[in-house]
Amino acid sequence: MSKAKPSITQKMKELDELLTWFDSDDFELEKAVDTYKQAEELVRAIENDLMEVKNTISVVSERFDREKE
Amino acid sequence: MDNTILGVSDFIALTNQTLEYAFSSVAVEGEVSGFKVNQGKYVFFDLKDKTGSVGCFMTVWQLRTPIEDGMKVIVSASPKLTDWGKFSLTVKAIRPSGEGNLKRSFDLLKSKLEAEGLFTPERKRALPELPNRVAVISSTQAAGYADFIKIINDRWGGLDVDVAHVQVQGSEASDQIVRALKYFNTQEQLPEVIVLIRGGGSLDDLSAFNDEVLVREIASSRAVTLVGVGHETDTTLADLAADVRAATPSNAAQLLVPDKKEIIRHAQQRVEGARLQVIREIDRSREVLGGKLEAVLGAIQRQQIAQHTKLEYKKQVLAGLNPEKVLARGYAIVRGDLQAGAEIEIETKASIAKAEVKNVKSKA
Repeated sequence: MSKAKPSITQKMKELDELLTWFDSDDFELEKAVDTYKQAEELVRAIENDLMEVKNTISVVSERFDREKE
Repeated sequence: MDNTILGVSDFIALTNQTLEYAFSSVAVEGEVSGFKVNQGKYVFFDLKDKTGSVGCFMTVWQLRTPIEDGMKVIVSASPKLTDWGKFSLTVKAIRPSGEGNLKRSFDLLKSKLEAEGLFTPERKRALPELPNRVAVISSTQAAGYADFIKIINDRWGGLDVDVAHVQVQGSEASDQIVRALKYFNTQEQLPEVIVLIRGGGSLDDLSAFNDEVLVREIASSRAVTLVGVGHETDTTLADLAADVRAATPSNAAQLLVPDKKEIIRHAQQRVEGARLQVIREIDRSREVLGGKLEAVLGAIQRQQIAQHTKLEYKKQVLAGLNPEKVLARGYAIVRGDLQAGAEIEIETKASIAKAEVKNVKSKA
């Protein structure tokens, strides 16, 4: 089964985690460049998503001008 | 008809039929007098103007806004002749008329609901940071709705918005909004936020948002509520009962979703910060390494100097032991057997001489 594409919210959360790592005690210079590249790619992906993804607006068919029978 | 003789009950029934045919529903404006509630269920009052007065009857459940004596109101009612021959209006809806009365009714209901704790800050829930699914209750034809949609589309993407089209003005508005709130709050997949919006208007236009039933429905909503009604200066009871109050529909959109341009800029800034941090760490490591290298070089240098000093000392000692130096001080080296008659060799600084030993005597 293929993995569902992460949502913007999930990507934002992932980016937060990556960037928090830079300020944490777990920071290691050996891993920093790779983590930085990951964060950079994630920002690009979020930017693309935000610019391309549209909101879905739908008016519900339910009528509210009368009591439901 | 002239010759028809009717029983009293029949006459009353016929009169009511005629009244219903002629005035199935009438709107009457007048001043409230003798307002009273019997058994907590039935409301009685007289509606009067300068010269006339008519009795009115309704149930407390139909009373959606506080009414008191002296208040000018408009009632929607059906005229009726009671079984005991009293003419009255059976009221279906009542609303204050004129700004002063609307304001008075607003203040009365506000005090009542405030006392019940409906507007306390402790009840308020925060909006989700990045919502995915929201519900909007508004008139899709209203300018405020168009502004709201435009702003959320400009600011954010990937949002699922379900819209309930309702009247946001007039006697039907509050009931329709209550139904829409109930509809969204009973959905299997509850929206993260229910947004209620309407553009500006007079106090009378916005009176639907001061309806007691509606205000209670907002206060008891399962989903977080965001209400943006009227202009910045307008305050309705719906605003006060909401989890989050927006000044206008546009402001509601701004509070609901972040600005994607701002989010991207912020994310870029943070990543740039991380890049600078990596560079700083590399520089710092380089400095630490440089310091260590320097220490190693210093140690080597110190060792070199120490070895050199030792060597110099040894060189001096060695130089002191050089026989040439001893000869230079006037001593001589004697080689050969030191016994009388033996030939020996005597070396001085400048020459080597052969000699014969004449006599040997012990020094002791």
